[in-house]
This record gives sequence, C-alpha cells and structure tokens, in this order.
Amino acid sequence: MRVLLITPRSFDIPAQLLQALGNPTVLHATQHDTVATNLELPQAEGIIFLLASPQLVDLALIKDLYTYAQAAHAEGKNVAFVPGQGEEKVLATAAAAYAFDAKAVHLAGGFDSTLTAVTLGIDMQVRLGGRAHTIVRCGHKAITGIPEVDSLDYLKILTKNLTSTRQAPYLAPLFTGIIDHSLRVTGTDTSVLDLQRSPGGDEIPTLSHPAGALRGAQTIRLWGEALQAIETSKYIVSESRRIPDRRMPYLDAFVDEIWASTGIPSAQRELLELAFSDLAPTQPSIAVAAPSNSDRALSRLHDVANIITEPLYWWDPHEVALYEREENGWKESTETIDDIGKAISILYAIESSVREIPWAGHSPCVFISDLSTLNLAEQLTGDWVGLCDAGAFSGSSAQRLYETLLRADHVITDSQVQRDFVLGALAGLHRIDQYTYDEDHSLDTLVSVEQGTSAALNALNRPIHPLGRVRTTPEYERSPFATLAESSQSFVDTIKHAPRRAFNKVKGLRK
Amino acid sequence: MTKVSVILVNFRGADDSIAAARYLRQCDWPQDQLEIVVVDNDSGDGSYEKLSKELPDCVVLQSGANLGFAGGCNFGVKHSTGDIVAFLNNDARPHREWVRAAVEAIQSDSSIGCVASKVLDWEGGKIDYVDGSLTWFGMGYKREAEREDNGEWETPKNVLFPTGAAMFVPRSLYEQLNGFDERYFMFYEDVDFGWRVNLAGYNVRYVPTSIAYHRHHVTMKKFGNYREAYLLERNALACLYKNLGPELLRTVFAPALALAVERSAQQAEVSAGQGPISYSETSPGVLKSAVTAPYAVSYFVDILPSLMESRREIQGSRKKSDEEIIPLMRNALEPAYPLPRYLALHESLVKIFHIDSSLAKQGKILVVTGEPVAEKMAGPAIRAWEMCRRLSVEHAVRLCSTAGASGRTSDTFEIFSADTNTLKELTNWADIIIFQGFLLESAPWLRGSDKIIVADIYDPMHLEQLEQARDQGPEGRKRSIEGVTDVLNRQIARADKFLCASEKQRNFWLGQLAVQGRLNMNVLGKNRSATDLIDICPFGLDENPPVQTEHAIRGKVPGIGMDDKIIIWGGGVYNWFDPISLIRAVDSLKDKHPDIRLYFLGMKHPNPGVPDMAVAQEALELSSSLGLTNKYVFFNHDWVPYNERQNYLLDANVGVSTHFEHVETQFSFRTRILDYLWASLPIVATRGDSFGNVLDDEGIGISVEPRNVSDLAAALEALLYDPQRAAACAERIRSYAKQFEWNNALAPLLEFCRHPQRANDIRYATLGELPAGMLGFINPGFDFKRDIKLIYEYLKTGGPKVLVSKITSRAKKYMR
Repeated sequence: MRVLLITPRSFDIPAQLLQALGNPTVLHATQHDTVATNLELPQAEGIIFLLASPQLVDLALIKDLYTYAQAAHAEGKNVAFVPGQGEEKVLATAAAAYAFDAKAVHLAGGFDSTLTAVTLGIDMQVRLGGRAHTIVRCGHKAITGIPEVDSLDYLKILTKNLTSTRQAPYLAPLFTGIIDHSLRVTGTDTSVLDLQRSPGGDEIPTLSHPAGALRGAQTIRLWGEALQAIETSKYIVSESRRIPDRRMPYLDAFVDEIWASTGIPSAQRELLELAFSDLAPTQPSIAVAAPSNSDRALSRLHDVANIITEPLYWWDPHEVALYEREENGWKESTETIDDIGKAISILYAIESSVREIPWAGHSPCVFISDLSTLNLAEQLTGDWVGLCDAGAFSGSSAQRLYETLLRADHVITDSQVQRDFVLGALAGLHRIDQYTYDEDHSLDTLVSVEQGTSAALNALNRPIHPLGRVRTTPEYERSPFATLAESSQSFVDTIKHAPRRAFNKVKGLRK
Repeated sequence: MTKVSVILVNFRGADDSIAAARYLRQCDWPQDQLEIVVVDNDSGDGSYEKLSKELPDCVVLQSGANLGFAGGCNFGVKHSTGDIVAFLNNDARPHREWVRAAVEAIQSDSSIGCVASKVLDWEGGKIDYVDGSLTWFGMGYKREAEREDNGEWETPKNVLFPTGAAMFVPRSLYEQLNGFDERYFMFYEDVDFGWRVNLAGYNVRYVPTSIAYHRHHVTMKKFGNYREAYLLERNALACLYKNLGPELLRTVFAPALALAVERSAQQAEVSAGQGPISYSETSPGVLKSAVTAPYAVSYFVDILPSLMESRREIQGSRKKSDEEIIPLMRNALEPAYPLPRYLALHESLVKIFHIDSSLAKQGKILVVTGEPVAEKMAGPAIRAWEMCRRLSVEHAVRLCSTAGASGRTSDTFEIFSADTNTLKELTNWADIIIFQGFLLESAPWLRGSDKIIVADIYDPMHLEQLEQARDQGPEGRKRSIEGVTDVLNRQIARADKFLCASEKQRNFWLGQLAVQGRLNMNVLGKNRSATDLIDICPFGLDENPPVQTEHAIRGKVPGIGMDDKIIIWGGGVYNWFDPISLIRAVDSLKDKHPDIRLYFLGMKHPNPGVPDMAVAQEALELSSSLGLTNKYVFFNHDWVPYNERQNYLLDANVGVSTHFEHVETQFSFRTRILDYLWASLPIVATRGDSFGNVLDDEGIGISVEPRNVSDLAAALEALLYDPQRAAACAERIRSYAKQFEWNNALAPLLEFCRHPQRANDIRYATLGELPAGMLGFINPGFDFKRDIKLIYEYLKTGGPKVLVSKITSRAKKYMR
C-alpha cells in the first residue's frame, strides 16, 4: 500500500518514522507560507498519514499507530488520533495525527495547501464528512496531547465548508462573543468612548488598552481578510459535496469545539446563543410531494409521514398547495416554494414527476423518487404520443419519467420487476455509470424495492447524491495525482466559473 | 382643533433653542393649540435660566441629567399635552406651513403613524433630508443630502424613517411604542423609531410640504469624531438586532460585525495616514477611532439582555414583514465608506453570504427604451422617463436608451446610452429589467438569465407594421410584419410580467400568450389567474397641471394671432392617422370662421429610425393644394421638446385625433390624448380606439365616425365656438384625468416592483428549456437616406459607442 506522509515544514523527520511507515512519500504542510502539496502519486490510492503535531506523538510507538491506521483504512474509516482510548464518530476534531484514505481525499478535491498541518486535517475531515465518509476520533497511547487550534482557523474552516445559511446562525453569537470576550477578560474599560458614560477628554485622540484586549477584533478582521481566498476554495468544496448541508453529521459537536477554542465561559455562550436563538432555521428539512387526487399516493404519504419524526412539508401538485405537518394533520404553509426549495435537504416524491415539483430541478436537495404506487408500464402504454416541433414527445408519461429519473438520487420501486424496468431506464439515461457501480455493485443504493416502509426509511436516513451525479467526480477521477501535480492536464477548465487559482489552492498545484 | 406639542431638546445651545421657539411661533397654526416644550439636557451653562427667561410662552423643563436626544425627547413628551407630538432640532427653523402640512396628512390617512418633514439646509437651497436609507449593516443615511433642491422631491411617499430633526407622531402611537429608545442616547433613535412605526403596521410618510431648515450637527461638533463613530456603530447593531426578522438577521449580523471591525480599523488607518493597525499588539497610543467597533460590540453585549426583551416584543407583534421593509431601505447594498480594504471585504461578504439575493426584493431597476432620451422625446421615451421618476422614489433606478441619451439629467435616477458593453453591465446590475421594443434582440443573454423581466407591450408593434410597413413593398412589408411578430413572441416566451395599456389590449395579448404556452398549470398557487401575468398600465399624465411659461403658437407662429381658435394635432403623422379629413374639415369651416387654425405639433419623429410616412406627405400636399398652408393649417416640421409641450398645448382650444378604421386603432392607446387631458383641452376624435369611445359618455369631447368630414367639422365648430360647452368639457376632464396621473396609471407596476418575482411557469426553466429556435432578427432593409440620418442622430444622442454598437448589430442581422 502506498503511503503519503505529511508533516509540518519545520519537522525534521527521523529515520525510524520513515522506516515504520514503509518509506512513504514525504510532503510538508505549510507553516503560514503557502507551499504546494504535490501529491506525486501515480494512482489515487493508499493512506495519507498526516502528522500534524509531531511533538504530541510518541514516535517510539509510531509503528503501532500506523498499524491501527491501516486496520481503520481497511474498514473505510478516516481517523483523528487523540490521547486516551476508544473510538467515537465525529465530523471533525483537532488531533495530533490523522489517517485518510488517499482516493477519498483526491475525489474530495485534495488538500487545501493554504492551511497549516493541523487545520489541514480538520478541513479534510469536514469535507470527507460532507461526502459521507466515516470519520472517527480514536484514542491511542502514542498520542500525548491535542494541539491547540486558534478560533480563527476554526472560523475559516466553518465558512469554507458550510453554506452561508447554515453557518450564519453559528457565526452571529460567535463573532459577538469573540470581539467582546477579549475586552471583557482583560478588564478593558469600553465606556471610554461613550459620551454619556465617559464625557470629557475629547482633546486626546488616543487611548491605552490592556494587552490582548483587541485580540477578538483582530480575529474577526483576519477572518475578513481571508474571505477572498475562502471564496475561491469554497466553490470546489461545495461542488464536490454529497450530503445536504442540514444533514451534516455531528456538526453540533464540532461547533462546541469551536466555542471551546474561544475561551468564552459557558454562561456567556448561553446568553449569546439565547440572544440569537431565533436565527436557527425552523423550516422542515424534508418535503414530501404527493398528489391529493390519488388515493394510493395519499395512503403512501400517510405511511411515509409516519416514519418521519421531524417537521415535514407536503407539496400537493394536484391542488398546487404547500402544507406543513402539525399535531392534528396538515395546515397550509405560509412559506413560498422558493423558500422551501432552498431550505429542504430531502425531497420525497410519491407519484410525482420532477416537472410537478418545479423547484426540484434546481434545489441542492437529495431527490428520492418513490414509484412504488405506480403501474409504470400501464401508464406509459396508455399514452397518446404527439410530435412537436423539436421532435420531442412533450407531455407524455415517458417524458415525465425521463426527466424524473435524470434528476433522482434514489428510486424506490414496488417489486423486482419494476426495479428491473427502472434500471433499464436509468441505463438508457447514462445513469448507471462506473462511479455508481464502483461504489455499490448491487446498485441497491440507487434503486431499491419497497417492503412496507423499510426502503423509504433507509433512503431518508442516508440522503446522499450518487457519486456520478456529483459534478466534480468525472473530472477528478480521470486526473491522477501525478498529472495534477504537473498540471499538464487542465481539466479544471471544464468546470465553469471555477477560477483556476481556486483549484490550485485546493489541490496544491503550482505552475 | 388638534393640539400639537413641539419638543425642542437643548444642550448648551440656548440661543439656538430660543430662535427655534420663536420661529415656531410664526407657524400657521393656532397659537393656543401649539405647545412648545423646551427640555434643557442638564447643560450646566445657564441655559435653563436663560430659556426660562426668554421663552415665557413655552414649557421649559430641566431634565436633571444629560439624557441624550432620545431621553430628552421622551422627557419632553411626558410633560406635554398635545394630541400630536412633534420634534424639531433646536438648530432648525420651521417653514410657516411646517405644522399644518404634517397635521393635515396625519388626519387625512389613518395609516400614517409618523410624518417625516422635508429638511433643507439653513439657506433652503440644498437637501438635508427627503428620504431615509439604510444599509444591510445597519447604517442609516441620507442618499440625497447635499444635492440641490430642484423640485424632484415633491411627491409624498412612504419611508423607513424620518429624521429626528423634524417629525410628527400621534401621541397615542408614540406612547404605544414607548417613544425613542433611550439606550441609543444619540443617533439612529429616529431610524429605530421609524422602523418600529413601520413594523407596528403604520406608514412613515414623507410630506414635502412640511418643511424645516437645519444647520445640522451643531451639538456633535463639540466632541471628537470618534464619539459619533462609536455611537453610530453600537446603535446600528442595536437597530439591526431589534428590528430585523430572523432570516435577514441571520444573513447579515455576523457579516455586519466583521464589516464594523474593518471599518473602524480602516478609518483609523486612513485618518492617521499610517500602515495597517494590528489589534493584536499592545499599543499604548491606539487611536480612539480604531476601537469604535469593538467597544460598540462590548456595549451591545452589555445591554444584550434588555435588547433581547425588545427584540422579542417587536418581532412578536410586528405587522409588516421584512419583504415590505426592504424596499424602504432603498439601496441597502451601498458600502457607504470609500475605504479600499473595507470595500473588498464588503464585496466578499455580500458574495459569500448571498446578501444581495436576500435583499433582492429591494429592486435595482433598469428601464430600457429604444427611443432616444433627449429634450425631444416621443411617447415610449416619455413613458420610460416617467416610470423611472416614479420607481426611483422607492428603488435604485437606471434609465437606458439603446438609441442614445443626451441633454437630460435627473437627480433621482441615472441615465445611460447603451452600447453592447454598457448594456451588459447594466443588465448585470439590475434585478428587474423593464423594457419596450427590441431589447431581447440586442441583449440576447437575458433570455437565459434569471433576471426579472417586465415587457412593456403597450404598443402592439406588429399591428402597427400592417400600416407602417406599407411603404416597403410587398416583400419588405411581409418581412417587417413577420419580424416584429417574432420579436414579440420572443418577449412573450421570456418575460416574467407584461404591461399593456387597456383591458381590450389585455384580452388581445392573453391570446398571444396562450399560443406561446404561457397560460399553463405552472402558474402556481391558489387564487391566481392568467391575467396576473399582464397588468394594465396606461400612458399617464403629470400630476402637476401644466403651467405656460410663454406662448409657443399664439403670436409666435406667423399667421396665428392671439385670439385665433386653435386646433392642435398633438403628435406625429403616421399612416393609420387621418389628417386628410381634418384638413378638409378645416377647409369647410374657414369661410364661416376665418380665425380657425390647425397646428400640427410634430412632423419629424425624434427617432430617426421611424420612417417618414406617406400620409404625412399627402397631408402637406393637400393643405398646400387647398391653399391652407400657413394661413389656416400650420406644420411644425420638427418635434417639440418634452418640457416645452405645455406651452403649445395651453395655446390651443381643442385637441384632435383622427384616424382610419383599422385593427391598430382598435388596440391602440393614443398618448396624445393624455396631453389633451393634462391641458384640459376639449377633444375631438374618431371613434374606434379606447379614448374615442368614451368622449361622449364622459362629456370630455365629441367623437365622430372615421372619414366623416362634415361631422368632424360640426364637432370642431361646437367645441371651438361654444364657450359654455368647451368649459363644461374642460371641467369634466379635470376629474376624468385623475385616473391617468402617472402614479395611478403605473400603480400596478409600482406594486409589482415592491414584490417582484419571476413568472411561476418559467422561473425554473433553464435556457435549453425555453422554446427552441426563438432567436432571430428583423431584416431592417436598406435605405441610404434614412441610414445617413440615423448615423447623424446616433452620433448626436449616443456618441460613437452607440453608433458602433448599432452598426455591429445591423451587420449581425444581415449575416443571419
């Protein structure tokens, strides 16, 4: 197995480490100066071992650590090594050492070479988490401590990896707290500028403040400065994302870690979070579409709604109406379809084609098409077909099925027969590609057969865009690391709107 | 009679306050119903004693502490007794009508919760306040401050907030809202109060006849600049936090904090003229101005528990949504401070946090006309101009002419000549694009864009072509009719909203919409109908009646005397009009009434692209052959400037519009009739169009059958020589015309722009899903004489850029 070792630039790598890792390819992460992370691998496979804080790792036990990493890799886990024992699933956490699957890193867009070794690891965890990879925090005896991560670095990672809507409710109390906290803990008299509380002294244009009083303000100013760089890399991150924002696993725990890095006391955090508590999105994140003129669809809606415990929208294309679930049934929603198109993470469509849910084509949500109540063959063969100017068969059931299957992330069928039919249709639409196949040879994650509500439950619990529907996959797939490092093949040109420098930063390329 | 209490807050400015109180006593309001309350804010300089002595007819109060402006005002209100409370800065001087105009407004409309007075500088020449704008990061500002008061701000309108320098509030509402927020001490208490008035479901109404004159910032000049910056920063945060709904606050609050920090750092850097300030270092001599934002945040956190209470209360009882508030913020994306790093951060924040799309409802509006925007303007350019005037009251507006713009300026909107690059920039800038004519041909990128596009199809161009293109020969005529029909079809396939001029037009356009597939199931939501796609916005007339500054016809045109009876033909002469019958009617009347005169206002269309038409030549020849020219019939071989047309109209006795029986006539809306209504001119017109059919019923004129010379002559005679009948018509016109005043005529458009949205059937369609094969051009044909004229006119109105753009566009058309 190929191994890639990344260490801080200043770290002098001992021979025993290289030996323990089987003479890996060695790279250095940056120490505030940007250095290309040239991966120099002919194939995107193997383990990337990121020694973020060598001083917190007992190098005598490094062989042990590596063995653990290999075993985890075999189980499909990406690991953050911390002191102690046991494993815990996380979105991301600060750690002295990390082990990542090389191919997963490659398809996620590579490392962000603008980051330092520790933040490189945190950022990659968040990105892999957003692509449904398993991330675990693992206690290991070789690790003697957890590196300290500045709240600025956490903020940059948060801003880079979450949509503005998702991160803004976190940022409002965090920013307020960070600016205020350093003034408060240093006992700075902030009333001095206040005409009411501190009149006089206007002839003196300057003031003194205790050391560190404005550290919080500086953090926010530096975050602002970093925005331009974040803006460019953010595009790559969002394009390669597979899980909708509101379904990011273990995000709250990661946000706890950010708060901890600020040093703000918990009572103050509580006050700030309470003050901004109404900013958290309250809209449901799941919408079910079902036409009210079909008894079968309504019955299925009832069954599916019963297995969903969280708030829920119902879009009725027949009545052209949107409802929200409440205790005693459904009430008409005040939201617009634009709002829900942006807010929802999952759209579950029963007997509804994508054209009957007009926003579905543009929403980043995961689209589950439930065809289990339909007799597709009967419907299709019962249609009259007319040719219009462009030679299409607009308006027919076939056209509706075509559009829907092109968009669907997962399809639920009523029987093996219907599943075969759908698979055939998907094949004709180029939806059965090497990416989907390589990830799941059975294709069960793409098309499932319903048994009661179990298929629906599975699909709802694992909302994910198939690899083949993620726009960056084919581009990244056909560009081996070595080729990327040499930058001789400019596949980035095919990604519209992505400035080249963004890609260079994310992939660590240098011309 | 309503009792008004005016509150003046004094802080070490007794002389100003005494002067202000004395000016107030000169106001046109019963003095026993005008209570003047002067609050001395613990000046400590003998102010109170002086005020008490000099103002025996006022209530002079000692506040006991410096309560700031907000606290001082509240203290004054508590000790006042008026039904309406008013606030006037002590360095301001009210106009004599200041009180009366405001009180009358409040009493005439129960939706008004606050009157915002117009505030000018002390001399009265420059604007101080005519509107309140607010940025997304909470900075209230006055966009129009320092501009000349040139009469552009005479229309009452709803605003987000008044200026505390001069405003009125019914006492009951003031008390309901607990007055000004005293936590602000100074600055933005008026922004916050106006915002809360709006959220409580009332309007803050700018009343331009309630005027005050202001010296401005006399009080604050006594202190360091950092004092003001600090107060502005902290009060802006409080304003945002209290008043924005959760969704918008979520979007803007963290970015607003980051921007505030950068703003204070950059301002200090620039004022000190030194390198970047690092907050991380201990600096014994840091500029006070550099820490205004961090210290403001600290105060914000100090009072956060009480602000939370306020927020809960305000948001829990709000009656207006943020969607209704956003348009009142005007240009909320204005960065407001020209500091390089600050501007870069502003741009990044807006982009990353999608702040622009959150404020999309505010509307940056581009109005495009294909007619030249100049002193001499034809109907479409006039319509575009008037739309801009009305829309710019609430939105950022730009007017663009693809035929060039010169010689006209506006203080409320910007004007552009469009070459392709400019057009691209303008369309990128805009959220809403309103256009007439051929924009989608010269800006094809709009078809696939997600801009909100309003097609103004008040002129059924393809029906016009049936007559207008008659002179082009069979092939040319066919090409023109088909080409213009295709142009309209492309507009119909793409636009999100349509404007037409009459109910009859709307029915016609619905048919054309139907065959383009625009009447469909995707018109989502209940209670919507196909007619929602197309609104009726007729041509309008100015709300202010015309005032003649000089005679333009009488005594000016050789052959027309001061006492002659003048018939005016108020526009161009096109093939669907019938000047022939009219000239013959005048011929038949001239012997009986030798003082009869017919004046054709414009034979030369201001747009060189509009060809001369056969009927115009025929009219000239007929008049000449009957020996009428320059004796009874007069032709202006040019065009009249838009701003001078009233001088012509008010010289006339009767306005006339005669046409042939034609399908164009049935659906047309004669804009010249609006001018007649504006000037209260009795009208003689042919039946068949939307105005011809109502003249008799409304008693505003006489209608006649097409080509009927004798009836036409009789009608003209009746209105020219029966003064009582003419006077009765003029009287009725005044009330009939009200509906056509621009603000009424454009009401559906103004409303749409307050809540703009993509059409529900195409908003989710992408370019590829729009009807295929829709892009094409009309072959314009080749006419050497016309093209030379076009080159001259384009150079004159648009300069070389527009000319090059036109040549390129023409070349493309030929190549297709």
